[in-house]
Amino acid sequence: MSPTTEAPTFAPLAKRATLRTVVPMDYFRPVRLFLMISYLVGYLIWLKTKGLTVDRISVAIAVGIFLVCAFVGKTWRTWGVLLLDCIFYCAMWLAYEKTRGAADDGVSVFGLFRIKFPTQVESTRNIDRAMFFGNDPNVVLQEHFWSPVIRWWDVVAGATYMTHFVFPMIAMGVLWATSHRQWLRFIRRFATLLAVGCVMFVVLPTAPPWMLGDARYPYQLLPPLQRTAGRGFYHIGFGSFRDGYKVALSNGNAVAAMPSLHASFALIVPLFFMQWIRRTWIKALLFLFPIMMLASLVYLGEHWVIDGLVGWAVTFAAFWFWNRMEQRARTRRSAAARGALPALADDPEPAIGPAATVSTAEVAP
Amino acid sequence: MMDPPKVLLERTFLQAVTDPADGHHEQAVVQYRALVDQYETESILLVAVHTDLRDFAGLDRHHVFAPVDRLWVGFQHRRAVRRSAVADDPQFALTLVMAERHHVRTIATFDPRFLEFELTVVPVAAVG
Repeated sequence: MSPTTEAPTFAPLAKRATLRTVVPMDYFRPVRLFLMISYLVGYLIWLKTKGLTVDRISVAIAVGIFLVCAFVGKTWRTWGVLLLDCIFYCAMWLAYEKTRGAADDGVSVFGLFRIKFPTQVESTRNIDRAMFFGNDPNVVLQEHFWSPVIRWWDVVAGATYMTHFVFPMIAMGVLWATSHRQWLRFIRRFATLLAVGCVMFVVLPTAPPWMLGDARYPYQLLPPLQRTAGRGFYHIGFGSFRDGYKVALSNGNAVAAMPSLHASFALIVPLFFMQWIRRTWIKALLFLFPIMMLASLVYLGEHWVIDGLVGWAVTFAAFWFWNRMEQRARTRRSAAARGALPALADDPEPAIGPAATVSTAEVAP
Repeated sequence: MMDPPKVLLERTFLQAVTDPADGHHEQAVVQYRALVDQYETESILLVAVHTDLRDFAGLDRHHVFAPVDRLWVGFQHRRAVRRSAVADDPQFALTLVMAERHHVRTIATFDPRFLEFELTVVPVAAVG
């Protein structure tokens, strides 16, 4: 924060008129608020009765309905920008789904031949074993905690696992509705995660832990692992809503495991929103979430620990890269402005006295 | 708000920055330079009504107002101007409408009329 030198004013703030005394009210503002609250209620009812929407197209429709509620009464230009945003958003997911499928089949080069990278089977397992002194964390966790009876930790693990399908979309929806600038900042980082993830899925197809113990596959390097990611979530009364659209985009790939996007998505949201949180204990609580996610993924046999750690590394790298790029853009624009200003601006002591510095106090939530 | 506070560069301020013959030119340049410094550290965002910015800088983004984001004027803003209590001065009313709709709390201007509102006005010395 820069030092605050509030500009002097000639009339006490209390005696001055608010802008609303001269500017007519935007009647769509309460309408938008009402619609968004109605949407929230409707979404919760849907969640309870039909289940959590997890396939991409249903989620896109849910996000689209929210955006209509949030943008009612805004200018045509804002709607145009929103349309472009949505096209990018859908193209991003479509590219992700299609590329993700290539992890299994390799990449076709102009239809002439295919490049297929070898599936990593033992390497990730060995890294995990090296980190955990010769133990397989997935096996150890399931041996100690998994039983046919659903316990509270199954509920926590299942619910945490399922947040992957809605948590980043809720964050995007909130940002879309409140600040397009912040939405852009978020989506740059998010799209980078997906892009890096897709490249790694193709170049480094990785067998997940459950596959190494599954009799349907030829590996048999681990004892059979229970793959019951959703049971804790279903146990508390929620379902998982999928419909026919899922078939159209069913490119889910079992060996698209490195990096873990579950771990990445669980980190990107707290990491992004951290800038508005002042209290250390709340920050610490937020960062428990990605740790819970990784522990859940390992316990549920979905990922290796190294998958999650690489997912986190990619997330941090995306933030580092875009923070630098955004700062560079600000510096470039500032330099352009300074370069175009007359020479008198370089006068260290102008005759007219120092310029007022704008208070940034209102940044604080 | 999730964004840094916005500082709206009003028409008289843009005029003073770009016109060496303007009486407030020197003060405007010094003030603008200070604002750009704050913009660079992301302490503030610089915005201007897009019609004002177009009049002084055209559509080129690589000019003296490169850090300034445009507040795009729509039909609803013009309608609000016509219904505002200061509709007799559409330029002034439009600035107030855009400031209200975009939650602007600070305005860079040399027009003393803005001192009547709950806005932080810079640079105040020249306005007074």
